[in-house]
Order: sequence, then C-alpha cells, then structure tokens
Amino acid sequence: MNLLEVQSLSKTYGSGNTAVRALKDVTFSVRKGEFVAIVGESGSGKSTLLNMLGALDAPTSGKVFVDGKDILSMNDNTQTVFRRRNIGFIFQSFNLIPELTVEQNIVFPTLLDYQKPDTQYLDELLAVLNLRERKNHLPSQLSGGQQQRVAIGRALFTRPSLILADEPTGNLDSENSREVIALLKEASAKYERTVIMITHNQSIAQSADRILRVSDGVVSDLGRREG
Amino acid sequence: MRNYLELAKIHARHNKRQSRMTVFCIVLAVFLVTSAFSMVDFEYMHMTEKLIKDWGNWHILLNSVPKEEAERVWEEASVQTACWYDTLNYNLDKNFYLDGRPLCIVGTESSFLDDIAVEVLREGCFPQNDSETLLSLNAKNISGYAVGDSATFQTPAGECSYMVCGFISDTSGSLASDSIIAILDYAAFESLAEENGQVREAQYYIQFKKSLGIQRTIAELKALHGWTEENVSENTALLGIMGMSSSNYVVGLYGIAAILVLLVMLTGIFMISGSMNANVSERAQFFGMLRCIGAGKRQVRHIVTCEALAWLQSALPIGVISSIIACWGVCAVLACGIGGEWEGMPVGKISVTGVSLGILVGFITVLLSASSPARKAAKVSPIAALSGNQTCAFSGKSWRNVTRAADISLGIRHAVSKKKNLLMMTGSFALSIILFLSISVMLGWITHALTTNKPYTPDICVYCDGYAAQLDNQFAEQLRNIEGVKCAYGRKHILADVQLNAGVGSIDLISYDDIQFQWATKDCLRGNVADVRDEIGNVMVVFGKGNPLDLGDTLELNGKTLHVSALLSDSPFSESGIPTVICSEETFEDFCGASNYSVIDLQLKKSAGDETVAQIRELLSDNLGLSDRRASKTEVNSTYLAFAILVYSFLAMVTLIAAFNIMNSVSMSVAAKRREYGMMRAIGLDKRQLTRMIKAEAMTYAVSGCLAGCAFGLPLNSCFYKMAITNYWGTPWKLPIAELLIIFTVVFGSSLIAAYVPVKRLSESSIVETINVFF
Repeated sequence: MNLLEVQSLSKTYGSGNTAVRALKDVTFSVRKGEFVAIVGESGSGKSTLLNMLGALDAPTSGKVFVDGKDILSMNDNTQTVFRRRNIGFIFQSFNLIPELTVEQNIVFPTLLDYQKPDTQYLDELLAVLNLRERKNHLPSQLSGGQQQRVAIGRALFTRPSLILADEPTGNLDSENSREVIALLKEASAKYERTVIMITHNQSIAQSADRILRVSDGVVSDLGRREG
Repeated sequence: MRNYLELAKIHARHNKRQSRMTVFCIVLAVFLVTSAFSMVDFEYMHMTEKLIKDWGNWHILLNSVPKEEAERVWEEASVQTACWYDTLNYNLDKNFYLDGRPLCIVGTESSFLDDIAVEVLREGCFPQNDSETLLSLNAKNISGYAVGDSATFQTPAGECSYMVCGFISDTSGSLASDSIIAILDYAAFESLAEENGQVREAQYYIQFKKSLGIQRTIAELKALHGWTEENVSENTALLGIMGMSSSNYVVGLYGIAAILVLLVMLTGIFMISGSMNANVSERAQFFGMLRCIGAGKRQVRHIVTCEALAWLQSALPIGVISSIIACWGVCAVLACGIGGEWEGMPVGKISVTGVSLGILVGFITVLLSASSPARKAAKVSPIAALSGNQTCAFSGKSWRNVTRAADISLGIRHAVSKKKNLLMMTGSFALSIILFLSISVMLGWITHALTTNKPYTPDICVYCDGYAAQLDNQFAEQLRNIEGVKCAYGRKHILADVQLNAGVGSIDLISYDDIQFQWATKDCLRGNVADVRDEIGNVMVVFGKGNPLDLGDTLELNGKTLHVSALLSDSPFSESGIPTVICSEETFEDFCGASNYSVIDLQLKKSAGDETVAQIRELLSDNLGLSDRRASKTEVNSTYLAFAILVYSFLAMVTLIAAFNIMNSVSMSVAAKRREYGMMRAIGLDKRQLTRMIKAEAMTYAVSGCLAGCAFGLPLNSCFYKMAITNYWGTPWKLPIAELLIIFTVVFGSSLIAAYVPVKRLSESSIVETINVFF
C-alpha cells in the first residue's frame, strides 16, 4: 500500500532568462513503512523535493498525496494541522528548543495539538532512544548524537505516518551517524513509520530499503534493497 | 509543561540577558506612565484641596437673582448646600474702617464656613447673633484683637460695635491691601447695609451633591428659571479639575496632556516593538522549526505575544515600584523642600488610579508593541528551519558604489537597503526628537506664565491714597536706608489724554528709573530700551491685546511728540484696557512737569523679616498705604520652582528615552545582522572596520531621524509655542537652536555609543559561533 504518491511535480524558481527548474516532472511513490534515501549532488533539487513532500513550499505544478490526501491543495491552516499530526521532521542542525529539557522537547508537538502527552509512550520512546537518564537535561548538556536522538524522538512522538529527515547525520561523526541511522531504522520498523531521508553518505544510503537519486531536478529510482 | 504557551515563560527565564533590553524598555514605559498618572492624580488631589481652600467648595454662584427664586433651588435634589454671601466695601473704595485700616465686611450664613469656605475659620466660631463678628487674623496680629474684645467699625452711617467671636485666615489680597475682613451674620449684615444705604449685590453659593452630570443640572436650572450666563457663574477651576467644566481652557489643558501621554506611549511602543522585531529576526530559524513541527501561524503569534507578556510580568513590578518611589521623592521635595502652596502634596501615598492606569497602559502598550513582531514571526516560512536565517538575505538593488571606504559604504548600504527598516528606524529616532521639541515649549511657558518670578517683582509696595503723586525722592532714600531693604524704585504715573495716530485717546504714562530700565531690557521684543532711557521724547509700550501702539508710532502729549522706540513682551502692570506707555523720569518731567512718585516698590534682603516691614510701617503717614506681597511672591516662586522641577525632570526623562531608544534600536539592528557580520569577519573584516561599518549605519539613521524629526517636530514646536506663548505674550517663535543642539548631541552621541556595544559583543564571540548560532 502506498503512503506517498508524487505526481508530475515541478518547481521553477524565477522567470525568463533567470528561471531555474529545480524539479522537473517528478513522479514516484513510497510504500508504507519503507525507508527511502534520497541522494544527489549539491543543488540537484533534493531539498526542494523534501520541502514539497512536507508541504513547506508550493510547487509550480504537480500533486503530492500523503495517505491519500492531496496536501498541496490544502489551505495553510489545514496543512499545518495535517503536518502536525502526520509528518515528522528531523533536521541536520537538530533544531531543538534550547530552553526545554529532552522530555519537553519530545512532547512539544503534542502540546501544539492541545493533547495530553502519552507518558507511557514517552517512557518507551526514551528507552528506545537510550535517553532515559538524560530526560531532564537541556540540549546544551547533550552530545550531537544525543541531540539528534531527541530530534528523532520528537519526530516520532506524534505517531506520524511519514518522517522527513534532511541530512540527519550531516553534523555527526561516523560513530554517532551509524547509531542514529540504526535507531531511525529500528524506530521506523518498530512503529511502522515511512522515512524519507536526504543523505550524502553513500554507506548510509546503502542501508536504506530504497534509493532515489536526484540529478538536475530529475528523480530516478535506483531500486529496492532485497531482503 | 502542560501547554505550549509555557514555552514563552521558559524562554523568558532562560534568555534574561538577551531580553534585558526589551524588559528595560517595558520598565521605562511602565515607569513613565505610572509616574505621569500618579503625579497627575496627586496633583489632582492637591489642586482640588487647594482650590477648595482658596476659592471655596462651591460649584455655581447666582448673581442678581430674586431671593425667593434662588432659595427655591434648595428644593432641588441635586443640591448639597447653599448660602447667601454679600460684601460691603469689597473694592476698599468706601469709608469703612477698623482702627484706621480699610475694612471689607462680609455677610453670610454659617454653612458658608462649614461647607463652602472650609479651613478658613482659625479660631472661635461663626457669629451666633447680630452683635458678633469674625475678623481676619491680621486684626489679631497687627491690632491686637482677641476673642471677646469689642471692635468698632467706622461706617459712612456712623460707628457700630461688635464682639469679636473668632478669627478667619488672611487672604493674600487682604495682606497686599493691608485691609481687614469682617464676617457678620447675614441678618446683621443686611441691617448694616440698609443703614448705610449701600446697593447690594447678593450672591448665592450652591454646592451640588457629588455626582456626574453637574453641567446637565446647571443647564436644567438655567432653563427652568430662565437664568442667563450673567446670572450663573461657574467655579470653572473646581469644575474643571473635576472634569465637568464647560471652560475651553481646561479642556485644552487636558488635550495637551493627552497628546503628551500619547507621544510617550507611542515612543514606548516604538521602542518595545523595535526591540522585539529585532529579536524575532534573530530567531527566524526557531519560528521556522516551530512551523515545521506543527505550530500554526496563530500559535506562533500567541507564543510571541506570551513572551512579551512574560517580560511584562517581570518588568511591571520593577516599573511600578520604581515609579512609586520616584513619586514619593518628587512629592517629598515639593511638600518639604519647596513648600509654599505645595505643602499639601501627599507624601508616602500610593495612587491607586496611577498604578492601575500604569499597569493597564503598560499592558496595552506591550500588546500593541507585540502585535507587529508576532505577525512577523507568524509569517516566517517553515523552510527557514531548513535553510537558516532568512533575514540575512539582502533584498533590493545590487550594490554598485564600491569605494575605497568599503566599510562605511556598506554601513550606509545596510541602513538604506531595506526601506521598511529605514522607515522604522527613522520614525523611532524622529519620534524622540519630536517628543523633546514638543515638551521643551513648556520651558518657555513657565518663564512667561508665572510672572512674579520677574526680577522687578517687589516684596512691599508703598503708595498714596488714590495713587496721588506724593512720594518724593527723599522718602525713597529713607526707605532705602532701612536695614533689610535691598532696593527701592519709584514710579511716576499720570493718566493722560494724547493725540494717537488714529485720534485722541488715554494712556497710562509711567516713569522708570535706571534699575527698572535694566530689567526691561530682558523683555524687549523690538527696538532699543537704551534709546528710551537716554533720549528725552522716546517711550516704550507693552505688547498686548488692549494696546494699539507699536514700534515707530508717535503720540502727542501737551503739544510735544513722543516716539515709540521699544516694544516689551511684559511689564509689571496688568492690562487695564488703557495702553501703558513707559518713559524715563527725565521724559516724564519734560512732558508733565516736576512730579513725585505715586508708588515706591521695595525688594527686601533674604535676611529681612517682619521687623523690617514694621520699620517701613513706622515711616508711613496716615495717607500712605502698604501692600505686603511677600506671601503671594513666595507662593508663585514655589509654584515656579515646582513647575520647573517637573518640566526639567520630564525633559530629562524624555532625553533619556531618546538616548536609550536610539542605543537600543542600533543595537537591535546590529543583532539582527549578526550572522552576516560573522561572515564578513571570516573573510577579513577587522574590528576597526566593523566598528566603522556599524557607526556609518547608526549615523545614517541619526541623519535621517534628525531630518524627519525636524520636519515634523519644528512645526509642532512652533504651533505649541504660538498656542501657549505668542498668543498671550506676543513673543514670536524663534528657531529653538539650543534645544536642537541638545537633542542632536544626544542623538548623534548615543548613536556613536550604541555602535560600540554590539561590536564588543561580536568581538567577544568567535567567528564560528557568530555564524552558526541563531537562537
């Protein structure tokens, strides 16, 4: 069953002589629970694609369906609520709220949805992320790897169907990178989340279920990993 | 953490240093508003008490109304109290005396002292029968009367004796005219007036119950009884301060006060908003992240507003408490340090109205200030979380004029590249200048309005009955020789018919001696005072609505021509409808013949006291009068000092706001470009160049702010000046050069200082930190 459907997605920046076609008629789909890596050179259009998938930016043409819903045709408020409940984000620079503790950072999106945080799920997640001992620490008291684990926890806590990660290991050393990816995969498998991750690291890309290459705004499917 | 809005509180707690500027802005705004309203409240209480003390606690006065008709007003439910009041010899021009002193006799009812003229009775009680009288305190102090003594009034109809049943306080009028006031029971007064065949003009004082709508009640009474404006006089001062006057003057004063408070509030909003806007710009990535993880635009707006309210929470107590302490200080200085009419200022009280309004206005100011930054934060795209600080990208035209002084050019470019930012900064600078220029008009106003502060104001005046010219130079010399007299200066006076430009008319011709000419030089609007002093035939006139004479005009007196050679803005003489013409003693003698003085004014040394006045009295013959003006002079001097302190403190506060606002704005503008400066340092910009770049940016704002401030502030200054000063004293508006110099120094000085603070902060952090840290 497909969770994500991208149909004829195009994005052009500027107009006339200065027009830049960042995405050219992109069409692909992703199955539920799939772990997809997007690779490509700098400026190839990876981030533009991720922005469209998260409804952060409007395309020039085309459609994106998440769980059967056309997210780009929604109005701003509906898009926000949809994003809040169905899409989790993980950033390269972690983007944690520096004043909040690990626990508070993780539950914050739930508070934005005016819901009471599920403490049992929080405990379970903290255990999976190996952050139980650190739950009352501030981000500044954590290592880079730990901070990214908090970001993963925050992305998972609202139980979104889709997680978008923009170079989540870009600021980490190889040891921490391996840990984070392993964790992301484990969480994805355990909670049946679909993960789409941009990466420059070939070995990390290789560990994904499927690799999409973006080159000059064109997306090509490099195939699924067997097994 | 139960609600996402708690983030605002936590953020404020963790970023005390970062939000220090904003908190200080709020503290200042709350402090100013609370102080202003508290002082207005204290002044309101004090003025109400003082007005009731000086003028009586009445609201309207009925004149020339039949007795039965006036007394029918008592039946009205809105009337609290009412009483009859009448005087004999009010102008002291009839033959009523007590021991040779002029006597003013008042007839009234006991409710006058109980409810209308409260605090007047100093000893004893209201006359209980027709043969008792109350006397003013000077009868006790100078003539030695005591309760129970018999006082014999000399009246045109003969002598009448009364028993003294008490004393009332002196008025500055009775002290100045050296007269005694006597209060009789109304029935006794009526019979005395009848005996003397005096035409009576009884007045009926009315005090309404304390409620709103006094003006409506007055209008209804007028309509019901067919009374005109002449029949009904309002106590405009008291009604005015109660906010129930129909007087345009009082409404105008409230209007000016409202404009000033609005300007202070506007500056506060500009300051807080500017500081918050910069803060939001710095945190674009943070707001982008919030949008990414599911915060709606409304939620982001709420977070920013709550942050502002969290700052308000910590700023409010500081602002309110410091304002209460400052008000205590000011009241203590007014009541104990200056004294006089300010003695009644409440010390150690808290103005509930002031504090409540301060909190309310602080709250509204912060909410209004937060609205623009909150909208700005809500507009941040979620992509900002992925792509970094949005605000670092410069929009607009490309930068072409690269000169050798690249750092200065870049600084100017930073200032002008974003029109909205330039407009905000210019507006913020300009508002400070406008506020300063508007308020500085008050300095001119106090020196003009409180006239007895003039150098020529006497402490004692000696005059002949009917102002006859009988005081000679020898007598003036005798007065000068008394221990304690600083100086004595005489004036000759004649009411003369002259041939004016446009026909025959009367003038008051008054002579000045050298010392008076010296004082007049300072009030000279046009012409030359020295010409009047040195040349016979030259005179000077005083600007005023009742004076048709102007510089260059001529008048003919006794066949000789007088030339108007100087125009004064002010003089010691009140407007009588007859033009006042001033000349030298030589000119006076040449035109009117040898003459003595009509009045001799004396100024006393600081050490002089009542014994000096007693010595002066000893020199006076029966036909000479003495007017003691020390009390009224002290009253006005203390008023002047109090006003001066208030105006100068207000101006100092406005200057402080201006300086702080500028420093804050520049600092915030720099903070918003922190990342870019980091990048420039990375490619080789050194600290000196960085300082020059920021200084150039600050100076650009200062120049544009000064231009805009002058463009709007000078017309406002001129308009206020004309309204408050030119219309009354004729002094024309001049470019306020001193004020402009002060505010320009403050603007440019604080802009320069402002540039150093952020440079220091930038230099303290590493380049990498500057580039990477957004939060």
